[in-house]
Amino acid sequence: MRFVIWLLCGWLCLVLMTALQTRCDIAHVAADPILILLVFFAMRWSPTTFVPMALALGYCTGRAALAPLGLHELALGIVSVGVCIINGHVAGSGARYFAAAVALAQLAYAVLVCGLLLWQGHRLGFSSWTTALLFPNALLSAALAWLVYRPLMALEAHLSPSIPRGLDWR
Amino acid sequence: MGPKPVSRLRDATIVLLLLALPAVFYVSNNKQVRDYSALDRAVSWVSGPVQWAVVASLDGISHLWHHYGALVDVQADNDALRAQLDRLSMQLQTLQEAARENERLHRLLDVQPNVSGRRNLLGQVIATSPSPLFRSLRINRGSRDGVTLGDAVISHAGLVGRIAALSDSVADVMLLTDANSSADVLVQRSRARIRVRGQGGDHALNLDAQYLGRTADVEPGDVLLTSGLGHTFPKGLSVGRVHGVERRAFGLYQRALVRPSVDFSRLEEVMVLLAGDGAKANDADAPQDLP
Repeated sequence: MRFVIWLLCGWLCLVLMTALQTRCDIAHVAADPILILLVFFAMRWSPTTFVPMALALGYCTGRAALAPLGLHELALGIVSVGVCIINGHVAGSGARYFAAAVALAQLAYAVLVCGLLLWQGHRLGFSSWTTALLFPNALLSAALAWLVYRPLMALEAHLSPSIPRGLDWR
Repeated sequence: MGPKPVSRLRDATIVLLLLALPAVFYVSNNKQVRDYSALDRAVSWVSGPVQWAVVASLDGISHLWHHYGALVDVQADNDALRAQLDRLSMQLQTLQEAARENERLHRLLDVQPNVSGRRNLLGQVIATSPSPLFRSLRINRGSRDGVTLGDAVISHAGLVGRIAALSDSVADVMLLTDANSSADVLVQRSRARIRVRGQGGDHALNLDAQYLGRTADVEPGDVLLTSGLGHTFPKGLSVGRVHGVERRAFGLYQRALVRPSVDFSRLEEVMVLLAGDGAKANDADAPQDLP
């Protein structure tokens, strides 16, 4: 049930973002709510749970972008696994750490998508304009991640079953 | 106490198998954009109304602001616009007469009518591509409105793209500036034929004219129109203007950089040229049958 609710949240974020961008587009700089959610999941869930989420949200993203099937799914899956692995080796927590992780993940995601397109010989719509957006998009995603960190934590706590710990008396 | 090595191995195996699934699809997938599956249609059936609601709300807020909140110099603007309207009305009458004459002459010459003969459908842009590497738009028209795959999409400024994916209520338009999009065009001045291909981006430096012969007569400032070849796009649609030509000291080809006539970052309404019913003339402009 938690999985389904988070999947619906991710899908809704994608729908809203693609609709808002048609009217509120400031130099094409846009945060990536899908990536923010996946980084959040990768830091908290087991890989066997967040990877299917990455595939599902990647599918939604890919279809909305008319991208080749499997491209965004694979890229988001790899990035989320990478976040999970690195998170296990880095001692960090809090909103700022989460924001930094999102920014780096966004850069890695963009490079990975370009790499996968080139690997399969797809034409790459890569102009200097696209390159110029990499860092602004990452910064905006980081800012949004910093803002939504606490709401995400609250929602996750609400959705996750409580686990009795040690000396908790109930 | 951490997870046991066996469970770690199991998790890693499951993750690798899950990641292998999209990899297989991606590698084996053909390079063409595929149409919607049943799942895609179901998702777009749900997401289309949400996107339309968001866009309609934003348009409503913008309308309120411009009509009630920003009433500065309204009277002066009104007077200037009335004068412009009068001038344009006179021009319109002249152009309508010229169009009717053109239609009659085309019939005499047995030439296919272009855009004016096509049934068209106005659509509102309700979503854009979430990825900057893929240039597409979603409009609130679908198969139940008569839209079919491959239909040309235009705006008042020129060619926008073509319908690449379709469901009942919405359709995705692959923009001309997408890297997978191309069009056969004519140079209006010299009638040289070239092919333009998208490079991403929205306005500047984002159409690249390919296979332009070295001896082709193309100069900066030339206007490009669709050639109508292959019936992908109707003939005569404005595509863009050449703003740079690169010729090397050797080689068979020269390269032209084209700025599209449409500002893809400002699209709110587009028109779909329906190909399903063929070239049906508008009743108001129906040419008289020849005796």
